[in-house]
Amino acid sequence: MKRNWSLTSRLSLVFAGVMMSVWLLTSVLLVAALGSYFRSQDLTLLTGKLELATELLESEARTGKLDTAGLARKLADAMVGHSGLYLSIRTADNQILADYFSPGFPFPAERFAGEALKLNTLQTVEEDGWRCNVMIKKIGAENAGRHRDVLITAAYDTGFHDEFIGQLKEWLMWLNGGLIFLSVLLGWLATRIGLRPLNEINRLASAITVNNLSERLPARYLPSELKPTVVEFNSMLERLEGSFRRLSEFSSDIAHELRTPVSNLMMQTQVALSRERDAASYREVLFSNLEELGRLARMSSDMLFLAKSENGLLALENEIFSAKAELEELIEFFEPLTAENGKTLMLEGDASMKGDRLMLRRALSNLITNAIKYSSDGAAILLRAEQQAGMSFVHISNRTEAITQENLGRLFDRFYRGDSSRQHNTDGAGLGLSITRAVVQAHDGTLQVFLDGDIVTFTVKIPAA
Amino acid sequence: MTTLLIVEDEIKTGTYLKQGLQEAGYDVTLVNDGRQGLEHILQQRYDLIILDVMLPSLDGWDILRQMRMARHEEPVLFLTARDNVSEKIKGLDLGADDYLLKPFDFAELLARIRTQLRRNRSLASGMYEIADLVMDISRRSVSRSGTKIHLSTKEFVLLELLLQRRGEVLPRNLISSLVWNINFESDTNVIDVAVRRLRSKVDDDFSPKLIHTVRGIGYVLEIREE
Repeated sequence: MKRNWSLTSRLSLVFAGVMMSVWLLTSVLLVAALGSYFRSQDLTLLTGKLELATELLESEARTGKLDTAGLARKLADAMVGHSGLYLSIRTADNQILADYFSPGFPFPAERFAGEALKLNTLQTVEEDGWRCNVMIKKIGAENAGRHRDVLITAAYDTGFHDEFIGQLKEWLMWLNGGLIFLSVLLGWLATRIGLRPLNEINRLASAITVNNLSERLPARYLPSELKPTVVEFNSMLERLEGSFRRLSEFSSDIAHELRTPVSNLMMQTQVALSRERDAASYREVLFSNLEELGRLARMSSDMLFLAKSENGLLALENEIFSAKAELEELIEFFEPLTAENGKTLMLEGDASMKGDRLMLRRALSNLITNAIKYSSDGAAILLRAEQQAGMSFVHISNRTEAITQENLGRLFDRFYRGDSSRQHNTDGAGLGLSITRAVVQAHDGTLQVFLDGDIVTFTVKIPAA
Repeated sequence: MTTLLIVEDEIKTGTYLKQGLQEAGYDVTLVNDGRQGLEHILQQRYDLIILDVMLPSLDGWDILRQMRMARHEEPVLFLTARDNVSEKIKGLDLGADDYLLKPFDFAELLARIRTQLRRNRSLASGMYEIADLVMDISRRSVSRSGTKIHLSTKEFVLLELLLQRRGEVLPRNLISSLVWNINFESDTNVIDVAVRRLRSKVDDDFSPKLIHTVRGIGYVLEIREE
């Protein structure tokens, strides 16, 4: 099972863990260093004592007659003032020639006899909870003035050192225990302080509602790790604010757009009913009402279409067809209109298109309608299809006076009409380009507009077949 | 007389539908409830049934399913305010059925009803004659009082449609859909312009006038008393 640890607990624990490891390592190294220091001190001491004993033995041997009692006395004289020290001179068959125990040396001397121990190295011997370091040196028979080899043994009781190290260990343990506690506390504190900007962000973010979507989180004073997050958050707010603004504008646009036809309908009907009229006048009113109602019906179905496309609910057929054939049919459809006002539709190129033929036809037809509506009289409208790099393009361009750099950006707004006069009878609801764009986007394509001088070009770009 | 059954729970819609269709010459029965509608269908033979999709007690789809199970094969025309119908119609795979989205043109409804009723009747006549207008489909020729009239391809198809359905008022979007295969309303008056141009060739120099505008609805080809 995965638990959701808070950042504070995670960081405190990690901090405590790191502190712990560092302290434990330090303690272990300290103890080890101290141990090896004591050992090297013992080595120096024991080596020195062995040298001394060797000299005593050899000088005694040079007199030709080994006086063991004198040797023991000299040995005791040399060792006096040392505590925890043991020295013995014995033959290889364990006959003790002389030995010395400093007061309080607790170790049984028999323990050093025999061949168990190596020569000339510092060794630790343990017995009954006592520990001591031992070193043994061998003197050749000729130098010792004896028939057999002689072994000199020096031992030093490490009890003092062991006790000191033991106490140090205990003390370090307590220290470490305290440090764990302290480092958890410090980690927690440090994390709290470190995460303070995050809490600040939380506080600000939770204060943002629909009513103050324009507020942004201040990114300037934030630590650099948090900056990308806050910048992303702000740009999300930006997008949300945009969508929200468009949405509410759209709603108010709808209400506004509905108001005009509804008010016309009410007024006409009320005026018509206000007194007796002949049949022809009633017919006239009904006809006029029908026009308004037709507009309302168009608007509602267009808006439904847009709502569906925004929610990805358009059911798209997937046909492959030629852009040229499609445009030719549309040219034929618009031919009466263009012939009447002296405009011409010209077609160039071809591209293979893939998608819902009827919807794309509607999209292209809207663009051609706009081109016819907003082009200058007698203008030529160029429809150009091309295919490159896996994309199919249809460019629709014409000279225009209605589109300027100023209103270019507003073209795709819903309910925007190129001419402000609002002659409803020939005009659509102003949703044509929105629908075109929705269709193109539903095909994973883009709709773009370019204005070059007085020539405007709409470009539909969708993935080619 | 052609008999129609309307199952529609919205009182106003039902009443106007009934009035309109009666005035168009049909024998119309109106029922406001789904279960009642199904009873009517099972008891009696109608030539066509108009079903609202959303109905109390039994919805349009259930009625259709149950009547088809009872081997009633009358054509059904759905009326609906929701536009997810086409998928369902396809799913049912019952070619006899059609649907109209509310709001719709009344003329469109009439045209659809006629299409449904005509379904099994063949129209394969190569010649049309009305007043002094003669149209020969196979020879692609049109003349009035013996004078040959030159028409573009689409004008020819448009005239053929008007002749085929003479006396029927054809709404603009039906015309654009049948002649140009454009199934959506264009923001322009292109149909009006097209009909005007056809009219100038067919009617302007001749009498009686044959192509008439029905204001607010569409166009009709018929001989009218002057």
